[in-house]
Amino acid sequence: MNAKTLLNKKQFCLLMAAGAASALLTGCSGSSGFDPKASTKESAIVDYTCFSNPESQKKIYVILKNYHGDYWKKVITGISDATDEIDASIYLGGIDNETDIDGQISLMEQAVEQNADGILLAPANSSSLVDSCHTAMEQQIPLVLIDSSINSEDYSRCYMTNNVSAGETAAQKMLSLLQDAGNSVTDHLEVGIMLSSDTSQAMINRISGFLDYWSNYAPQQWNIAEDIYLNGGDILKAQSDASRLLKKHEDLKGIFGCNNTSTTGIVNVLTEQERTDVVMVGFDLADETRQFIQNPDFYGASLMQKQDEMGYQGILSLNDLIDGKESGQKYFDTDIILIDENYLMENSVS
Amino acid sequence: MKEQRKNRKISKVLFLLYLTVCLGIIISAYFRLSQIARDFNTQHLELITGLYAEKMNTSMEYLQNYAQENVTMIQSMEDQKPAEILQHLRDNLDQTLFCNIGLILKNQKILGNPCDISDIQKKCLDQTAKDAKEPFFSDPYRSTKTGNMVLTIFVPVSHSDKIQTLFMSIPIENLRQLGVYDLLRDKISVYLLKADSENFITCISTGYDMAGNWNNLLLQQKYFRYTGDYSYHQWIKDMQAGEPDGRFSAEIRGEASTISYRSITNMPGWYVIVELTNRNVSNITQNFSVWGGIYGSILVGFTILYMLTIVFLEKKEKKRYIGLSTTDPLTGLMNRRAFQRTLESELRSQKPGIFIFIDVDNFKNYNDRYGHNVGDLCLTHFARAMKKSFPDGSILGRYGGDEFVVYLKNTSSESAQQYMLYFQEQVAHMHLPSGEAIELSASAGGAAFPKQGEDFISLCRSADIALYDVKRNGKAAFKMKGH
Repeated sequence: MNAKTLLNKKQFCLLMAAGAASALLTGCSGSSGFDPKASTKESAIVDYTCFSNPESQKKIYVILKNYHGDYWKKVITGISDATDEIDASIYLGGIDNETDIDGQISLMEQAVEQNADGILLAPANSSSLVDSCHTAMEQQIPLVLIDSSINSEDYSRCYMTNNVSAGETAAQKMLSLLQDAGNSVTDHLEVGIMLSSDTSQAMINRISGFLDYWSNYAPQQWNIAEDIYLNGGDILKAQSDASRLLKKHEDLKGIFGCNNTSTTGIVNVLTEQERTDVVMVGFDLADETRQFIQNPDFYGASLMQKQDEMGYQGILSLNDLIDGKESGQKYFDTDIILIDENYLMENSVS
Repeated sequence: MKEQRKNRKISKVLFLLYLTVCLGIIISAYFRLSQIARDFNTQHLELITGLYAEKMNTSMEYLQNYAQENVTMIQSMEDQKPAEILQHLRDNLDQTLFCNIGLILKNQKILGNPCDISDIQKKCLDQTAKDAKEPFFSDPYRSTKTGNMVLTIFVPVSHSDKIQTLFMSIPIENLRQLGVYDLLRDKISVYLLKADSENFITCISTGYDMAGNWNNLLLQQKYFRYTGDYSYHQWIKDMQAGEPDGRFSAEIRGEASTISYRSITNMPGWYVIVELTNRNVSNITQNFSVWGGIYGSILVGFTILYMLTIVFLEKKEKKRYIGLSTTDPLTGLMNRRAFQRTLESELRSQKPGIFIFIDVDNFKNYNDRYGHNVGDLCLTHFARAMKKSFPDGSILGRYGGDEFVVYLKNTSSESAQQYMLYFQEQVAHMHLPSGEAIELSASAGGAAFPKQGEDFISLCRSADIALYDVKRNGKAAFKMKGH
């Protein structure tokens, strides 16, 4: 390291957008657009870049675990919004590939070595970052986590979605939509579950919450299909899984998609096969999902995380901690937005 | 000959019988030992599961008793204000185990840390507590105060005018630690499972870093292959029906495993699940049966080796005896009887060939002049020349005295002439041990098979006629019959 580049915020956001666009064009396979040398999966560190108040004495280091897609763009927007309200120089770095745990550990070490006043971290792994977080906390550096937590208490605060609770909300909405679709509590029906990975704690917790709510409130005749498919983040695989579920289970009346790819896959298949009898509850809001929810022939809803809130609140909170303001609360649920037909109408989301 | 074949057959049958019996013993010993190993594992697995369930029951009992003692304390402090009571309880809280304590008042007001109050209200646990007559545990949830997953116990406070329920939270990590046995780390996995939702907490896990996570059993089913009649449905049905314990075998992530479950009586609806990868704990017992098999096989292997060595030595000895009875001891060629038997066998193939009688010319003179030792040297010299001159596969023999015989397979008269010319050259000069060189020659008569003789006797006769002709015409030559 350590080529700290001083850019103004506008330039930085342009670079971010270019990076995200190039990642999308290249199938999110490598290059970040920031550092050509960081284009391989082995070394995917995006070095710290200062994009706000370089003259400030207060230095906040932000370490992200991804730069790709709308999700992380919104996190960066939240961070960017927060910088308007505080006097601190923000150094933004991260890894371009979420499996590059060593890269993130290295960025943590650099932040500590450069006497960061505070660190905002989106941990790529709940166990591997424990030691780095411990070191930072030992050095009395306030550490705020966003997006996900770690398996230790060595952090100051954490802003993330309560995924168990989100799963419960999804199950609640699924039950209500199934009833809206005309299913009686005495009808025998099945609901399928699709996700991209069964090692993601967020997705596991969504399912735990969903099934917990289901076991408490679903009618006895309404069962969960036992074959749960993993699509590995591939929309085509998600579509084929959705088709397989529909073909295999004649009584399938609902599918829960635990993430964006699963949801998009389900929506595409239901639309293509015109399965208006099957209800969909998912996560995130791709164009296809929005159109599906808006289509009066279908029953659908989706849950959106407030990732911009994570970035925004995370930075403000870090600033407070640096200023010595404690709140007595460590975990902050940034909540979710339930997107259904009414929400889209009321908010005119297009 | 017939008797010999019969004996050989009996020997083979006995040997095969021996091998079959040995193999049978080894296989049955292996399976028997494996069965003993499995029974041993089963007993120990049940013991381990029982111990874990006992430990969890004791721990849960301790939590409930601890809460109950606090309830008693609340009842004894009835005259004091709830806030004072709570402060007293907080001062005496076992903070190594619990992370918070609070009170729900009859008027539905909650006293406690604002974060804890918010958590309880958000999950409507205060409403559940209002109607509860017995202590109950919440599902795990993330505490806003600590950021950790916690489980909260709610205990109704009877005989109190102001306080309705006491609540205390325990971090999942502390609960998980209750189930950790360092000695069994990396050997077994232990889970606490809530039967209705099938959600579980991983206390100990082998190979997968899932410790402390709130996971779901249905999500794991793709890694399970149930054996026998048992199924996922059956397992869930049994637990949801309140079955106190059970055990079954399954292949989990490709590993043969045994799952044992037992209900936690102090935590209704919850089970301790112990997963044992057979390979792990059964190492000693499996090794026992495997090594039993290996040693048995080594023993049988050595016995077979010993028997084969005996058979080999016997065969070698037999061959030597046979050699003695078929070989001419002086020249190393076949003796007359062996030659005749071999030739007769060859003639049965009906392939053409040339039979030749060879005489050492003037052998008697050499014997008389130089002695019998030189006579013997002449004969060995001839035998060597025969081996050198005739093609491989030719049948060579000493007929008797100074007479030799040879049968050339698939050879024409012309070729035989060539071979004999070469032979004459080879025998022509011989050096005695004294250094003296002597001249030798051979007279030979040949007969073609089958034209000039269809069996050994007639071939001998025809060749002898030709030899006589050569001898009569000055010796040192070869002639086919009729030429």
